Amino acid sequence: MSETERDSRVDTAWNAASREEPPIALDDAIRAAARKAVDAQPRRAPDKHWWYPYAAAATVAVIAVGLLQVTPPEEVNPTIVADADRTQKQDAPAAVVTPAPPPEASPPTIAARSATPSSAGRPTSAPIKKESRASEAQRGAAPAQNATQRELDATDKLAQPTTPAKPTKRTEPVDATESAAANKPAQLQASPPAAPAPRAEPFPAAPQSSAQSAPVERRDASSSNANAMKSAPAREPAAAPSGATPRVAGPPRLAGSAVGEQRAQRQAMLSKDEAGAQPRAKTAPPRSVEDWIKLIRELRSEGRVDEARKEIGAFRSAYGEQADSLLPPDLREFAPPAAKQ
Amino acid sequence: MPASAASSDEDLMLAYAAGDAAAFDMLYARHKGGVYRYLLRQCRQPGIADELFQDVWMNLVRARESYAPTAKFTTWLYRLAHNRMIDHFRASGHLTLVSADDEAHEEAVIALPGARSMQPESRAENRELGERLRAAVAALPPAQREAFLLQQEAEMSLAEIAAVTGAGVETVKSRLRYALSKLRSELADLDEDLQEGLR
Repeated sequence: MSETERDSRVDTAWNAASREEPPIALDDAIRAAARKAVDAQPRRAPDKHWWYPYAAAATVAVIAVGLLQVTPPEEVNPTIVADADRTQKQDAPAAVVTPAPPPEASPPTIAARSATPSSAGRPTSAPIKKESRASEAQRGAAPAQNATQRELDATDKLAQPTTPAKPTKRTEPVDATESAAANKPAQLQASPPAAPAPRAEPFPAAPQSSAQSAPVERRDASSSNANAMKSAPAREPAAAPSGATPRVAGPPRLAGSAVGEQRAQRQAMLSKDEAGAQPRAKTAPPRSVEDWIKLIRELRSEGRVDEARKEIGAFRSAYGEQADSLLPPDLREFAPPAAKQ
Repeated sequence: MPASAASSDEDLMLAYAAGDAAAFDMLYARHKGGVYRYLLRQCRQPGIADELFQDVWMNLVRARESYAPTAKFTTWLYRLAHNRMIDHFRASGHLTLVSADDEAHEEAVIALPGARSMQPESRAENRELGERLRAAVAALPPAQREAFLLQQEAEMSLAEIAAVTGAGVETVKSRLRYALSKLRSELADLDEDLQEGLR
């Protein structure tokens, strides 16, 4: 007998003899009971790690939000800056290019104001130039020519004593921000504290404001050398809106060997301006009667009789038949119309 | 893990414990016949066998969550059946299964009414081999019969039978030896009867 205590004959006989199965009804009852027990039982506790997907999703969301928060604003701002620049340039030709200038930023320098139209605002300055040339005939070319000549004089006078440590050869600043930064030391030195209001105005786009400031600047420039030092950087706000001298570099920047080069350039520009003096004068807004009279009196009191009479002539040409009625009697007698002629 | 026909009994039971009713169906289909016949041969009454059979499977259903595959599933299943049958015998007052000693019950086994040698008149009848064998098994002492049934129906080894019945392996081996000896003699008697009948 084998170790398992089996007999093949008995096994065969038993397998053939023993074939009973439970009743089908009992099978169904047991299966149903088993299935019911499973269905009725409370669901097993979910997997311990059921929160893993949620945690992963939350982590991803937090990382995404964090990246958005950390992303430098420069990646988003360029569009806004561009829009802002476009708006500023449309509103004012002397708009600062930097997206967010500090509040205490220095007022736009000559270079900045002149470079802005040349670099980005040329389309806006060109029509102004044409318009100024068209109206020049009505107002006369004398004030504009005088102003241009005084600018050149002031530039020459300013350039001679100034010897900045870092001379620059660039006469046409491409970037207004760069030029503003470069001009800041010289400007601080040359800016007159007496007339900050018109110079501090960053966007002298309104013709009225420039009309008020222009005579003052011309008067300062023609008064004395010292005044020329003061008026040189301040004169440009009046000239910038006109678009007549957009490429004139600021006198405070001129120094050393660059002075001659700068002067030659300005001479060339002056010749161009004289050729187109009428367009320039057109855009120069008429100074007020009071300022003009004040200027004439100052010239006369300083002994500059010829200049005073020229100013009276310019006044008469500007105001026409009303000039004599506007002029005070002493100035009317100082330069009668016949003498002017 | 989804239940499949290739899954082991243990995996099916675990799947059912996890809520897979299909796993129970597979388990039931595999073992329903063996368990039923095991119970039927022990109690010899189909009605009681049906009741015990249902109780065994219901006990399995109730104990599904405490099932741990530390042993074969059949061992666990037939232990449930064994315990349920003992409970039945205890309740009916016929508890002779557990304490049965093979040698001590030799005479008793011979005296059982199932022994075909004691009924010569029935041998003359053309009975089927299966019926005589079933009767022979039924005439076995309860311990021998249980060991034989576990071996035949559940195809258990000596150790597994020992685990189910709670007896030693050698005891199970002895019980099986006696049971097979009687059944062989019964088959020999059947052969003689058949030969005599053919003459």
